[in-house]
Amino acid sequence: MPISTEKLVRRAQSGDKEAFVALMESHKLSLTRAAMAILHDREDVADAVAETVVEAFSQLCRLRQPKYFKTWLTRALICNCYDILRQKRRYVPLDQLPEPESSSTQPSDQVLDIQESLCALAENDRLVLTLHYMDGFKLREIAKMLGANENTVKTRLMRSRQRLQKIYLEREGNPCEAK
Amino acid sequence: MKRNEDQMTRALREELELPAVPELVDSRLRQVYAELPDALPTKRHMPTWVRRSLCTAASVAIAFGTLLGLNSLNPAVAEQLPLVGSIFRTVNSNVYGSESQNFREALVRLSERAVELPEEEGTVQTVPAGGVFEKPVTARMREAYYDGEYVFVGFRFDLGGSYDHVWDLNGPGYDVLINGESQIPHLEDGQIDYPRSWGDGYCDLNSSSWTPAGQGEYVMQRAFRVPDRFRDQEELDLTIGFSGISAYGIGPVNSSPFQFDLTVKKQEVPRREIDCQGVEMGGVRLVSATASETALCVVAEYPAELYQNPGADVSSFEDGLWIGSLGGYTLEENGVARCVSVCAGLREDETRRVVWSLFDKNGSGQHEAVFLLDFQNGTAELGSGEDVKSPPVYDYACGVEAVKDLAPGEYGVERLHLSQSKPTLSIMTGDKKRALRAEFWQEGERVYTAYTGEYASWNEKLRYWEYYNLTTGTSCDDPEDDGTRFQGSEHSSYLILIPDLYVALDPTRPVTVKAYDKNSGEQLLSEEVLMTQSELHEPPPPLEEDLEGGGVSSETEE
Repeated sequence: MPISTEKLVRRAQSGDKEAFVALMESHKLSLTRAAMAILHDREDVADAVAETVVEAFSQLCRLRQPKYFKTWLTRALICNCYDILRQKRRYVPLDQLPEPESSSTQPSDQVLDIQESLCALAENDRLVLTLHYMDGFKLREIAKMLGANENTVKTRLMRSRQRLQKIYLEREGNPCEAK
Repeated sequence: MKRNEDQMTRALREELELPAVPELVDSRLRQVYAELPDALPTKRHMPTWVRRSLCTAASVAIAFGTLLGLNSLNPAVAEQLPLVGSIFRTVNSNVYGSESQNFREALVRLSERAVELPEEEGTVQTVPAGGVFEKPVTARMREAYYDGEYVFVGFRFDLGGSYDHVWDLNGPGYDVLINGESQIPHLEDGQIDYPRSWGDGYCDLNSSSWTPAGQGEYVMQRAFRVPDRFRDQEELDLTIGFSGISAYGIGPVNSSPFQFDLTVKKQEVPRREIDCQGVEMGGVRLVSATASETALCVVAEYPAELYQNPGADVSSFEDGLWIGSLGGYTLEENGVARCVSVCAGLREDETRRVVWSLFDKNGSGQHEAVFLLDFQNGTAELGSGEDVKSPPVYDYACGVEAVKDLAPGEYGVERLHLSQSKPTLSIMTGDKKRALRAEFWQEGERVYTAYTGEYASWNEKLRYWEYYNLTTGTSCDDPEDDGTRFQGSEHSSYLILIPDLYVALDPTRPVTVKAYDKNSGEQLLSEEVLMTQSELHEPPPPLEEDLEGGGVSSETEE
C-alpha cells in the first residue's frame, strides 16, 4: 500500500533520505510538467527540477504543515524557473506581461492547432493553465505561488481559456459557440 | 455550452499532459540523489555534519551546476597530471567521490605496474554514432593490470568534443565476461541488477565518471575484483562491454554498444593478510582482510536482522584521512549480510592502521563494530566509536564587514574551506561575472590551479554566511535569521569546489590566492590568507524557535 505524501514528508523531515527520494519521485512528473510550462529548453527544465530537489532537501525541515508540501515544492520550482528565465533575460513579471493578442486579429480561416496555441501563450499563462487543470491547484494557491493578485490570475486563466476555446471550437467546426 | 466546455477542458488536459518524465530530467535527478548527504537536516537538532554538508554543498549548489561542477577542475587536472602511458594515474580520484593522497599514490603505482597495450586492431575501434544527433567515437584500450585478485583496464576515448561530465551508460551492453562467463546480471529492461549475483566476491571498481584529458579526449578505467572461482588463475580471457556513453546536459554522446576482448596475465604482487580468526564484535565477524600496493579488501559478515540499514566503512586510516574507496557492496543471503569493501592499496611502508567500522544508522545510531587493521603486523584489534575519527578542517572566512566594504570591481577571498570532503574557495566580487582562473601559491610556488568553468557556481545578491568550526563539525549562521548583522552584505560570489585542494595545500602555511580573467589574463586578485579558523569553537547559542520565518515555506503555509 503506498505511503501517503504527508507521512513521507514527516519521515523525510526526520532525516530519512529514502522517504525524501520517494517524495521527489512521486512529484517529479508534475514538477517537470510545470517547469515545461515556463521553460522551453529541456535542459533548463532539468536544471530547474534538480535545483528544486536540492533546495527541498535543505529546506524541508522548515515546512510546518506537510499538507502544503506540494504547494511549497511547486512554488520553489517556479522560483527556480524564473531564475533561469531571468538569466536568459526574457522574464517579465506576471503583472507586466502584455495582454495576449486578441483572437479577433486572427484570420477567420486560420485554424491553429491547440498545442501551437499553448506554445504561443506567455509562460505565466501556460503555467496557470497547467497548475489549474493538471495539478488541480486553486486560483488562490496559484496566485500565492506566483506572487500575483488572485484576480490577475483569474483574468489570465479566463482569457487563455477563451482564446484556446475559440481555436478549439473553430477546429471542431462550431465557431458560433465560442463567443 | 457545458458539453463544449467539458470537451475543451478534456482537450486542454490532453495537450498539457506529459506522459513520462524525460530521461534528461530523470538522469539529472539520479545524480542529485546520489550526491545529496545521507540524511536530511532535521528541524530542531540538525546534526552538525549535515549542516556542514549543506553549508558547503547543497545550499551552495543552488547556483546551477555546482553539484556537477567538477568540470570546473578538469582543465586543471588535465594540466597538472602526466598523461603519456599513465591512464590510471590520470584517473582523477575525485570521480570516485573522494580525494585522498593514498588513493592518488595507489593509482600511480598501478600505472607503473600496468602493461601498456600496443595500438593495433583489437585495441582501437571507431564506434559508429548510435543516432542522428550523436557522434562517432574512437575508443582505445591502452593499459591493463591483473594480479590474481584485481583487474584494471585503462581506456582512452576521443569523443570529438568537450563535455562537462561524461560517464558510460548502464544498459544491456554493459558487461564483463571472464573466460566467457558474464559477471554482470541484468534486469529485464537491460539495466544492471547490482549486486545481486556478486556473492562470490566479484565487485565492480569502475570510476563513475570519466576524466578529461584535453582536446575532446577522456580517460577512464574499467576495473573489478576477480570472483573467487577465478582467483589467482595465471591467465584470464576478458571481454569488457560498454552500453554507450553519456554526458551531462547532452544525453547519449554515443548510444552504440561496443566491446573489447583481451587476455591478461597474472603478475606477482606481494599481498598482506590479516589473521581474522576470532575477530568479532557486536555480532560482526571479520572474514578476511587483504592488502597489496594496488588495492585493499575487507570482508565481514553479520546476521542481517541485527542492524537496520547499517553503513560499513573501511575508507579511513586511524588519523581520519581517507584511504580512497574503489567500491563495495553488502549482499544478504540466507539471513547473513556480507560486506565487501574495496579501497586503494597501501604503501609498503604504511604504518597507519586501517579502521573498519559498522554504523547502525537506523538502529542504535552508533558504531556497533570497529576493527583496527594493522597490515604491517597482520593483526586486528577491536576498537570503539572513538577510533573512527574525523579529519581536521581548516578555514579562512573574511567576515561580514569585509563583504560590506567590497567596492565595485573589486575581488576578495570570501572563504577558503579546507575539509576532506568538500574543499571550496569562495571569491567575492563587485564585478560582473567572468571566467576565472584561480591559483593557489605557497612559499613562492604555485601549488594548484582551478577554473570556474562553464558551470561556475556564480551567485548574485548572495548574503554573506558566517561559518564556525565547532567541536562537533562546521556550522554556519543563516543570513535569513540574522537580518541586522548581515543586512547590506549582498554581493556576487564564485564558489569553486576543488576536491584536490585538501591534498595539495599545507593548511598550516599562508596561502596566496590569485585570480585572473581566464580569457584576457588580467590579474583580478592576489590575497594572502591564513586558515586560522581551524580552531574549534563551541556551538553558538540556539536559534530562537528555529528558522521558521524564512525560506520558501513561509508564504504558502497557513
